[in-house]
Amino acid sequence: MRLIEDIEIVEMKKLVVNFVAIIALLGMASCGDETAPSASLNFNLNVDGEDLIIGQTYNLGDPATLVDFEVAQFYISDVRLIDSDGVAFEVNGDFLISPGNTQISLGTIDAATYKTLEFGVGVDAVRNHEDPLELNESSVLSPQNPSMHWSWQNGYRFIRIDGKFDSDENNAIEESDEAFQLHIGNDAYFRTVQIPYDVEAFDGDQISLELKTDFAILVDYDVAANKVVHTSNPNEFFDGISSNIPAAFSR
Amino acid sequence: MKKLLTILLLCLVFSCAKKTEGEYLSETFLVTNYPSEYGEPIIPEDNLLTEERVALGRLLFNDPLLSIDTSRSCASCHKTEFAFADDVAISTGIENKLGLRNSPSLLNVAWQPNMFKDGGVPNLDRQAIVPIEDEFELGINMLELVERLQQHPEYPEMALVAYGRVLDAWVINRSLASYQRTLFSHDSPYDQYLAGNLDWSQELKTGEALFIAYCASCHAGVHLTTFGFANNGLYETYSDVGRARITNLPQDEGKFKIPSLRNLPLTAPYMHDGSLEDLESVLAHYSTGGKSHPNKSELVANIELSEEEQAQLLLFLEQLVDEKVVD
Repeated sequence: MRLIEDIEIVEMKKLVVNFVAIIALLGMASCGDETAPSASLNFNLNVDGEDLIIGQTYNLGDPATLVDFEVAQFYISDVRLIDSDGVAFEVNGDFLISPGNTQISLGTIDAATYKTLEFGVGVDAVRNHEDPLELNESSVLSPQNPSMHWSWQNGYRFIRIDGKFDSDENNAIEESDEAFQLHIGNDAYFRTVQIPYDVEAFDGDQISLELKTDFAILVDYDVAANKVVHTSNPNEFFDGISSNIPAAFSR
Repeated sequence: MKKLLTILLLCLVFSCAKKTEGEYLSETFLVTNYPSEYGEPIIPEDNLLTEERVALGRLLFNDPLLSIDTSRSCASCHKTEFAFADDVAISTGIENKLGLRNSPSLLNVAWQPNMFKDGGVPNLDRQAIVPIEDEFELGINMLELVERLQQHPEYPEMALVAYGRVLDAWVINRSLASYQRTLFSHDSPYDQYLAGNLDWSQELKTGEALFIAYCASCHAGVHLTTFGFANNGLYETYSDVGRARITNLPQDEGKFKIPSLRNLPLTAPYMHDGSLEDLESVLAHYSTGGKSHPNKSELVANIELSEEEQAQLLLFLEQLVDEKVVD
């Protein structure tokens, strides 16, 4: 009986030792996480410097036209922070940015002196053509409402802008005004944006990378004459619109 | 006694336990009598045909709940009597909005390697989301549709039985594909003639010979199509660029999927935009070789069929209808 108790005591001691070791390891691991810098990418959606708010009116286009926005969202993919040695810290995947969701959490990043921020606007040519129906609903590439999948071309709208414009030219947006749409998709119009971004990330830092997205640069054409712009197969007009995408993003 | 109580208790626990998704699943696969000469239909491993999948797909296909204003269903533009096509140039969707192209026949779609006249969608299992979300067709967001159908008294349980998962976008698209894979046609008078069950007049045989000489390069084999894409010289300038809309390639401008000619007399009007109202107009188009276009198929040339030859060819084409399917 005594022998059994001794064995139990020994086993108990082993358990305690193991427990302490595990706690210590966990502590070390969590301390490690706490010291690594973390970062988020925050988008300020605006129209020529004025915050973009759904339902509010703005003047944009060429010639300037009064519009409002019902939908204003886009995909950002594969974010890269490139340091002074040209080494990139990458966060792969797709993120849907809209007025209700303007932040991408990059999680912990490598401590480094970063010089450039790079990301895709849209969905890369491989993921663009995968089956959205196979994806878990937590994926931003699964069916969305409003829909971002451009199912007829088996790909995504990279940028979706829907709204109304002052079609009766009475200097107000009303229910009776006509709709305008700018839907940019198609592999040919996937754009990679590079922005000089000097930032030093030290252990323990929480870095907020601020970016502006100017919708007035995206909708920089005659809205009344081009009410529905869906960039299917490329042409000069669509080329011009998509060439404005990088300029729409700035610090 | 104690044991008996334990067993009773366990039985009670199990009977109260909610069925998991997988427990509903029916895996009795449907044996279809696909014609062997057609080759293997394209059916993915994760959507093999079962009665339950087809039954759910059939109900959804005919249900106007699939349109935003409940005014249209898939069957509105794919009518049985027209070989699951429509009898207008361009069918109307919700609010009488005009669609983009002429509604195609769905018969034998199980063998089609890609969907739509531009081939933009690679398979039938991913096809239905296009007309469902298209603002000119059914016009309903897929997530909104899922939410709507989840309130239906029967569909949610049918989805669990058919696929072992809750009704979602995947189930809607896959079950619609399953139903459409049961729409096949292979018993026309021409099939009977080829099988040696019918004697044909010399006039019909001449019509067949003309067909083989002038049409069968594109409308080839048992499916009466190569499933390829071709520009048939319908226009000098195409407002709908067809295949190029998907590939972005200028050499694909004006190319459209070559349709099967099975049940052809039932699917008027013709061409991608329904611009030719009858078969006489189609033969007139091909007789002259069509309009000039850099991408026009070399096979579309001026063949100058005589009136008698046109009548013989028409008579042959009339033998391509499978009455059993559209009955």
